[in-house]
Amino acid sequence: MGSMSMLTTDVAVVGAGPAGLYAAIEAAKAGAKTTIINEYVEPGGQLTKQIHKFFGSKEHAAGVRGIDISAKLLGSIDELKVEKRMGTLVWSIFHSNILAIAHNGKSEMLRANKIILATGASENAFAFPGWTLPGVMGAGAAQTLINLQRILPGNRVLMVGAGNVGLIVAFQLLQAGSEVVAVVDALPYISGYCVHSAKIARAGIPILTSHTVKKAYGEISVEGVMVVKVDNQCKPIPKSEQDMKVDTICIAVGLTPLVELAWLANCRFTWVASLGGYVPLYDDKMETTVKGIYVAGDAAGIEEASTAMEEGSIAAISAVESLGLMTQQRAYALRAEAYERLRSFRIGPFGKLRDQGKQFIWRERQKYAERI
Amino acid sequence: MGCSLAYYLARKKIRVILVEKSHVGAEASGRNAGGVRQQGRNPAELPLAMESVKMWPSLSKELGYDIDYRRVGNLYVARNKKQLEDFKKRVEHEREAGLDVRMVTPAEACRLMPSLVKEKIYGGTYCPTDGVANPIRITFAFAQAAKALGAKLYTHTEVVGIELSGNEIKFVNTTKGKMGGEVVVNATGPWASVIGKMVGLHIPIQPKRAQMMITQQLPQNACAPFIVTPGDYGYWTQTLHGNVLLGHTSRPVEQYDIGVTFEAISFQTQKTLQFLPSFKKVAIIRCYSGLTEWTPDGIPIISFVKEIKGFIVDAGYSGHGFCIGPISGKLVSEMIIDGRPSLSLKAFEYSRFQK
Repeated sequence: MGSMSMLTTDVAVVGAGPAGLYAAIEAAKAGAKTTIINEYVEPGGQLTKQIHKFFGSKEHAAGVRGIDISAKLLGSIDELKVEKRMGTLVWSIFHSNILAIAHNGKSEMLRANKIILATGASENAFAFPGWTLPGVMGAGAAQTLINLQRILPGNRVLMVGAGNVGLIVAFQLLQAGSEVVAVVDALPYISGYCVHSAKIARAGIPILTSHTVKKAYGEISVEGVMVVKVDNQCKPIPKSEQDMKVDTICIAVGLTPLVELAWLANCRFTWVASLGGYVPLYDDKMETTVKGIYVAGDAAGIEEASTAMEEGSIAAISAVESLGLMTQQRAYALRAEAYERLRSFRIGPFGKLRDQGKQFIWRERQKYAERI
Repeated sequence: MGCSLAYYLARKKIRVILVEKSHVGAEASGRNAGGVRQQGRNPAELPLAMESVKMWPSLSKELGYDIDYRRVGNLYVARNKKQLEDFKKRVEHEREAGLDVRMVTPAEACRLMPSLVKEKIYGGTYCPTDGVANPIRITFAFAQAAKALGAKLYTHTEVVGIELSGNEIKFVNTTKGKMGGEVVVNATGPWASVIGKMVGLHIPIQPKRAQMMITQQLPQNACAPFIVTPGDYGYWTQTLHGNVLLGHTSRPVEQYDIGVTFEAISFQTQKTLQFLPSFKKVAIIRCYSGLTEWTPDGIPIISFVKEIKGFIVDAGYSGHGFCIGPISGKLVSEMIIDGRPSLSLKAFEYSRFQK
């Protein structure tokens, strides 16, 4: 390690996915010296493997594929001279404003006046007998294989989870040339958007609700899977097993916010089931309970790319406002516009729960502020 | 200390209330390296450590919970002549006291711990009956066993004040209401001085912070005995799962802060690499800190205080209380029950700081 120099920046953004890229662009536009750090060697986050077209409104790049949105954002990042540190791991935060970063096995310290954590989420695991056999993988991993690395993970696939990730990846596996045997979900209904489940249905793939995996089997890798029907207590119903010959089982049973850095920075947390678990407390400026540390995107509660982008902007606007690079009036107006656009996303049966989750976090944040 | 004492009291059918501001083992008890060590101690503590080591092997069975106790031995390594001379004198005293400890040559030390560099060391001392245990498990095991015997555990309960009537304790005020007993034991480690103030005592105990680092899993012989070397280098031990713990010596700290500092990480990794160069490619996967509690002379206070009736101070273990936890609980329980601990606690009187 040895003695090391201290790098400095105005705004450090951790994570170069949709939330992080929007945050970096917004901060740099306001004139802040901005550094964006990403663990993976390529920026873009989940966008780079999203070959499907977004929907929603024009502001949210409806009709554009995720991968094209990413390319556009990266163009802006370069134009605005944002410092990119890719393939770089942030392994801790010291004194609330120093990021410990490591690149090629060498550690450096980066002092940032403001830190925006846009670290995204990780896929939840699902344990059943045989879940460690090669061939069992996260749906996100399968998506990376087919869309980024152009490798087909298997020929016959069972998708576990009928949420948006499960439905979208099942369809993309089909497009890539795999046979998707079925999509199963323990819930008695399909939790993903109808637009995605309809595509699966049109392709003739059964979506088995109230079904789960009993076990996977195989000598050295997956050769098949026992699927079982469950009752409304999620208990397996005897003699309802179905044997499916598959070589790949994709797990899409939800995401958990990746918030280790916020824990390390001593941010206060709360549990919000509808947002994926433990989330740091933050206010309507996306600022956590540690001054100068902001959070955006899935790290602030699982939602989607479009909302992540808005939150990234809000965090950056608030950061540059606090740095004196933007007037309060302008920051206020921009935030109000962003929240107006967010509102259109947080409606309907899916959005409502998340909206309530966000409201809960703000209330908890308020309570915390009153306590201290 | 609190959990151990609660267990030995409950075993003798004494009614016990155990109050803990957080959860069981939240502080130093659950954060230390788990060294069950007799050698290298203050001579006053040696009889306690030796008696405690007799108790450790049967604790898993007695408490009904595996505490991962292993007699891996403890190796003190001298990096210069002066340290070796000091070791020789110490070993002489320890052998006189009946401890199975011996000097080892650099070659022997390297056989015990293959990552040592023979050319860099002058020898060492080895105590084969020393060992390690899992600190989280033993604390939990004592608490559970005490509870099973009828002790009442109040976790997430903070002591906020102590009401006195003359020199007697009327009750202890906690965030869960008033509690009381014939005897009140202050086993709050680094917070002992805070509790002391509540009864008007000045207990000379200062907190220090020690930072631990954990490596990736390594082959089981990577750090077979518990390794110590003097002069701020720290200590190294291997867990049951193969991760090596790097322990940092304690530093003064303000406000009971158990944050992790980069300075300590940097210092400790540099010292480790000077001492054990083969660790260069080993990855550190986690860091955490804990507080140790220091008295001016570095040995604990285990005694009644004459100023307050029925008040015991059982704290100040100065960074090496883990091994003596079981015997300390037993001795304090004897002190409470019939006033006669089976080993002398004279050296640990509170009054030694009042002279």
